[in-house]
Amino acid sequence: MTWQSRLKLVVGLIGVFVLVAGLTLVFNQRQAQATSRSAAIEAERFPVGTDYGGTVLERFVSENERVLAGQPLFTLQSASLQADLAEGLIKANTIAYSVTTDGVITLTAAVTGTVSDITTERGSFVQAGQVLATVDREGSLFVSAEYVLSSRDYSRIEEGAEVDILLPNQRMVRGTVESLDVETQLGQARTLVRVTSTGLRDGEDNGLVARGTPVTARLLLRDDGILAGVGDGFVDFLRKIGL
Amino acid sequence: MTTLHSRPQLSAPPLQIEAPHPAATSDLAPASSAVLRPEPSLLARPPDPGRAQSPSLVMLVLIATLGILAYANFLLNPSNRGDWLPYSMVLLAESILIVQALLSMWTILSASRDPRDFAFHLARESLFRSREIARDGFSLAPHRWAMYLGDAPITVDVFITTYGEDPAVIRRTVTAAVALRGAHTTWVLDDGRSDAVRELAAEAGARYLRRLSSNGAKAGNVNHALALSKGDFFVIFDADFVPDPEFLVETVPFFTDASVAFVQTPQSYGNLHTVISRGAAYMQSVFYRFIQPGRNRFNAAFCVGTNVILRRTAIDDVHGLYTGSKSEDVWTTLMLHERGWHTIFIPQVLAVGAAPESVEAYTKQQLRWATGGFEILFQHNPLSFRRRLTLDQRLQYLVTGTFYFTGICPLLLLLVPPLEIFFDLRPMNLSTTVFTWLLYYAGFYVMQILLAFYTMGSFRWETLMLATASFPIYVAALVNVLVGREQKWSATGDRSRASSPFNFMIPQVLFFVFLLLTSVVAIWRDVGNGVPTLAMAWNVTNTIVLGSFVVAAAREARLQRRAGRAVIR
Repeated sequence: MTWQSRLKLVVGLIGVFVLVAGLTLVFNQRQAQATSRSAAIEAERFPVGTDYGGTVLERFVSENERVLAGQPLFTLQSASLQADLAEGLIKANTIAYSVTTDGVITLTAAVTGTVSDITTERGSFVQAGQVLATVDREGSLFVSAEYVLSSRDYSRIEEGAEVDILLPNQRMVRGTVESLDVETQLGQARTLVRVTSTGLRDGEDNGLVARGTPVTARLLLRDDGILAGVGDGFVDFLRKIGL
Repeated sequence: MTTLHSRPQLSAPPLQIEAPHPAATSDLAPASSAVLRPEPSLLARPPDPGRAQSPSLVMLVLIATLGILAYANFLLNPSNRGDWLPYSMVLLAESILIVQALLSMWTILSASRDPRDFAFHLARESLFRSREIARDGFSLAPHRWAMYLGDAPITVDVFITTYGEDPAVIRRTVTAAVALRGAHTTWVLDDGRSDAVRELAAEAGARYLRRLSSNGAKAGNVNHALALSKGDFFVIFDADFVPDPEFLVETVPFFTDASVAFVQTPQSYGNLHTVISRGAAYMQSVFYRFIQPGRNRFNAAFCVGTNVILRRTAIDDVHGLYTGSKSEDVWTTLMLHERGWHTIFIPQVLAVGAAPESVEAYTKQQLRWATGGFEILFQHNPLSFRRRLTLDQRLQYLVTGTFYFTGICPLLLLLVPPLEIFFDLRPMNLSTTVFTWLLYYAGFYVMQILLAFYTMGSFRWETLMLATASFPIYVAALVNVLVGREQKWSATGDRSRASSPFNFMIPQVLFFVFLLLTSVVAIWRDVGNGVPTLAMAWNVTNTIVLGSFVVAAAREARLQRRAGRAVIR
């Protein structure tokens, strides 16, 4: 071989080795994470219901309205309530409602949050036990993510593991695993993970951060490959130099 | 037969009145001498193109077409689509392969007409005048028998182009060329400027021509000789192609049709002792036995620069052999077709030569051909309205121009398994099982191999290996044509000493190392996951295929070094 060819070959070989090393790091990084098959933002939900059938006298709030704890939502007039009051079976005030002596019950918000799913209107009759609306508690947003994992990957999920939540507008929010729920289908672990995050604040990003918004949640698994240390070290290095 | 001829001197065909030549008794005698034995399958006169189309071949082609369509349907089905990057790579590569396969099967099926018509046989019978031969006392000197087409005597020049080849090889060719049956003048056109060649030409009884410049390479060399000679027809042989004595007898009669510009015969190879030459020769024989005869039907058979006899007036009509390209042969053919000339290919082996044996020779040959193909596509688009070609010819030149894209396809396909291994990007949907894929894939490739097996009687793994390992050559050809530069090799200029094959295959070596490392990563991953994957299996297969090419080259380099040491001692 000519010296020129030898030089080309050596430089090329070094290039190939560097390329494969880089690709292997990428590959290892991917091996150490799992991407959700389906994930969405969820909230704690408090249903507003009544134990007495009756007529809705007034509706004070509308859909998606923010309410404070104790704020009145509906008033109902109920004959059976009147009867119970006369019998002295019921207290006049609880956290969820207040009652006047003429049989009018005022349903109030149990928590501060957003009203949704209103099922009734002024003047309509509601049955005992019916849910009239739901209040999504403020500051309770979390992500519910579904993963299909191999048993090996399932074993690598750690308590409090980090999760990267990617909002539809490509903003990334950090979260941690709060609880797991697993069910096995055809040898694959269908895992439902509840992820909490301090970065999810109601109504942020023009209302994008709200219950029901689809997101992508990338779960970081425990890395037990032989490249674990190398990969982490490299990532730390990149962070340190500001990339 | 004789009653067809009214001329008295043809009362008996001269082929039968005297027998100084063993092969002279009949058409069906083996057309090659014992010294140069090519592949046995190519030795006998090949079946008539008319008979080559057995019903079984037609059936196989039809089944293969069905397989191709099923595979295309499978690939294009949106529900099978995977990630866009590998999917589009696979789709692009397989589309090119599928379209070329369909077009070549169409060409093969078209090869059902024997170019030898009545006029040919008539002209062949009246080529020599036995009475005249007897009168001049040339009965035992068939190379001096004057040839006639119709009533007119014709003259033929035989050109042997040389460029630094081994004098022993040239001597064999020149000796055989001088001995061709039918009067002709043999010329050695020496661009290698070797005195040894001049001496051997004089000994063999050939004229020797050496020019001062080497402009225009081989085409320039022949054009220079055309300016000095004046035969009605001229034959071109490369220095290593030893012609059969019957060459002129089998080809000259075609020129009785005044529109025929040239008659091309196949290149056949006698040196099948290296992996490279076996693979290259096999590729070639498919081309010469099936594609070229089919192109006859499209009037698009092209000249391959050797083993060809041309009409001087036709070449004058296109102002000499085309010198603007290294692929002067294809370009000259294109010019002839645009001027309305007819071209003929006969699938009858009339000269046996040497296939490229070394990686260097193979690389240079493929680069030259691929460059010629891409040049036609990009610089002389055969579909343009400015070309004066028939639709048949346009289609066939489009096939020629795009054919070498099939050589680039392996590059795309080789990259697909690494994409899956490193990035988890799959060409096909996850729900597509391996067996579904295998079924459709086999429908395409196994049928192609079966077809090759049926038509050629064998299938050589070397061809598959070369087809996989040659993509850097074709990529280089494509880039060279697009940016308009000439390939330079960083090889030693010393042509007497072979340079190492590795000078010409750095991309292949690097790619092999890349695939090897990728295979290691893939196996490590699969061992970790406990499930073998198709990507790993493919990648390992590709590594082995490319590796066998590197091993073949290493073996060649070792032989070279040994030969080099022997010379020094």
